[in-house]
Amino acid sequence: MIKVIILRIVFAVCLILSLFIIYYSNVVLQDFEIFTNPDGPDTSDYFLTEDTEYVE
Amino acid sequence: MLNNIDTTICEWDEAQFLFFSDNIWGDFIYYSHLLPAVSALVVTLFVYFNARSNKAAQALLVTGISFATWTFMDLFLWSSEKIDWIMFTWSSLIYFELFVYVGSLYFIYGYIRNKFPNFLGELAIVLSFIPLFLFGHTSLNLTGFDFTNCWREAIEGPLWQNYIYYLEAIFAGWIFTFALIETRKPENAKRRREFIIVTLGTLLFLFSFSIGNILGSVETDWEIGQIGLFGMPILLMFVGYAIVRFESFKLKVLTAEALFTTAFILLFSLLFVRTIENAQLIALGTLFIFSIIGFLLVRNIKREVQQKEQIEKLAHKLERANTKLQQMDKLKSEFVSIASHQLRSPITAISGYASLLREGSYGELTNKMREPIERIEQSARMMAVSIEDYLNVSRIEAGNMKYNLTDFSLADQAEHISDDLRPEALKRGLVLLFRKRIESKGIVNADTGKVQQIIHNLINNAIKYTQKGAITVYVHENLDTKKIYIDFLDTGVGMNTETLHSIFQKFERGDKANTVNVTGTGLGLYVAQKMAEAMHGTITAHSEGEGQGSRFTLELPLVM
Repeated sequence: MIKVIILRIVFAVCLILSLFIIYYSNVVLQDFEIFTNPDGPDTSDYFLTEDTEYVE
Repeated sequence: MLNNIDTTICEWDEAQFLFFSDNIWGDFIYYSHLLPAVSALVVTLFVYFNARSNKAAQALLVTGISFATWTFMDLFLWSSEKIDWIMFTWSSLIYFELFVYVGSLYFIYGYIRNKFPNFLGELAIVLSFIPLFLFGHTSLNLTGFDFTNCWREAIEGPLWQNYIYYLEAIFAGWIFTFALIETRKPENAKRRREFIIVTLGTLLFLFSFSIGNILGSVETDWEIGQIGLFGMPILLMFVGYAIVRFESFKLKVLTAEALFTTAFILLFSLLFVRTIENAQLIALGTLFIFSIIGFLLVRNIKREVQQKEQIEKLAHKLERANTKLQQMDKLKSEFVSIASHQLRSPITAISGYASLLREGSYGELTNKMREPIERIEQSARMMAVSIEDYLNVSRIEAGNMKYNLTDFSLADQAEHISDDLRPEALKRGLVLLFRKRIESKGIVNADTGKVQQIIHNLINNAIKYTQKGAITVYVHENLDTKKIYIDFLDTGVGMNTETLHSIFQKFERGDKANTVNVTGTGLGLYVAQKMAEAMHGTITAHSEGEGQGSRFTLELPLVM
C-alpha cells in the first residue's frame, strides 16, 4: 500500500512539474515555432497548400 | 518569435470568459462540448456521493472530471485567439486525454473486482507517462503553431501523432483483455452479462472519444472530432442500464431516470442542428442505440415493478394469514384455559372426597377399600398438576401470567420445600439432602409462589428420575455477579447431549421417562424456565451422560 501511495505522489509531482514547464516554455518564454509563409522558416514549405493564406 | 508576426491579418475575435467568441463557427461546438461535459460531471459526482467507498464510483468520477477538463480545454482552443495559451493548452491536453483512458481502465477494474490494478499495473501506467513528462514541453509534443492560415491550429508532433494514440490502443486492449479474462472465470458466471454490458459501454465511449481526435489529427479536420464527445452519453447510458438492471452502486431507479433524461435531451436536440449533416446522421445512429437500450431498461423496470407488486400482494396475504394465525392461537389458548378451569373444579372435588374417605370421615375403611381410594386420590392429584401445567402454558403464551414480586429468602424457601418433599423421597428409598453456602441473606426479588413452584418441580423431577441414591439441593451464591444459585443434583438416569438441548421445550420429556415409569405432560420444565426468565433468572441443565445423574441449576439475581 505504501509503495502505491509513494508511486502516486511521485506521479503527481512529475505531472505538476511537467505542466509548469509546459506553461513556462509556451506562455512565459513563448518558446515555440510559428510556421508562416512565404517569409518564414524553410520548414514552412512543407505546410503549403493551394488554399494557404499568405502572410505578408 | 510571437512578436514578429502580425496577428491582425486574421479576423480573430477576442474570447470573453475563456469560451465565448465569434472564433467558434456555429453554436454546435458549444452544444457538443458543454452538454457532455456538464452531464458527465453531474452524473459521476452523483454516483460518487451515493457510493463513496465503491472503487468503480471513484474511478468513474476521475474519468468524468478528466473528460470534462479535456472538453473545457478543447472549447478554449476553439475560442481563444491567444497563440501562446493555445500552445500551452494543446500541449497539456495530452495528459487529460490519457487520464480518460486510465480512469476508464480503473473503472472496469473497480466494477469487476472492486479494487484497482496492483502495484506492477500502476507502475506500468506511471512509466507510460514518462515520455510526456520528459518531452511534453518540446517540439515532440507540438511542433509549432500553424500560421499559414487563420485557423489557430497547432502542428502536432510524434507524441500526439504516434505515441499517445498507440498508448490509447494499448489501454483499450488492456480493458478488453482484463474483462475477457474476468468474465470467463467461473466465480463471475452470474455477473457475466453485467460485466459485458459495462465493458462494452466503456469501450464504445473510448472509441467514440478517440476516433474523432485521431481523424482530426490525421486529416487535420477537427469538425468530425466533435461527434466523438457524444461517447460520454453512451457510457452514461450503459452505466444507467447497469444501475437499474444489476443494481450497481446500489442507487435507485431515479438515478437512471436522470441519466436517460440527460442523454435523451442531448441526442434529441442534436437533430435540430442543421449546420452539420454528419452530426445529424451520427445522432440518428446514437439515438437508435439509445432507443434499444432505453427499451431494455424500460422493460426491466416494468418487470421489476411487476415483481414488486407481486411481493406486496404476497406480503399482504402473509400479513392477513399471520393475523388469522394469531387469532386462532389466542382462541386455542382461551379454549385450553376454559377447558382446564372446567376440569379443575371436578378434580378438586374428587381429590377432596377421596382424601376425606381415606381419613375415615365417612366411616372406617377396610384394607381392601383403602388401596383403590388412595389410587383415586393419587390420580386426581396428578391430573390437577397436569391441568395446572396446561393453564400455565396458556397464560404464558397469552402473556397473561402475573408476577407478584416481593423480597424473600430463596435459601429458606428451598429448605422448606426440601423438608416437605423429604418423606416422598424416603418413600422411594432416596435420601434428600439440603445444603447451603451463602454469606449474604440470599434475598431475591421474585414471585414467591412461582419460585416455590419451580423448586417443587425440579425436586419432584429429581425424585421421579432417580431410582436409587440421593438428591441434593445446594444453595450457593456469587457476590461478584450478584447471583444466587440452587443446584438440584441427583444420581438418576441422566441425559444425553440431544436430550439436554431439547429438555426445556414444550412436551419434551427425558428419554428414559418411559423406562423409569415416570408420568407427566412434558410441560413442567418449559413452564419453570419461562417463569424463571420472567423473573430475570434462568434454569440450566447439565449431565455427564445417560446413567450419570443430572444437575439442574436455578439462577436468580440477588438483592444486595
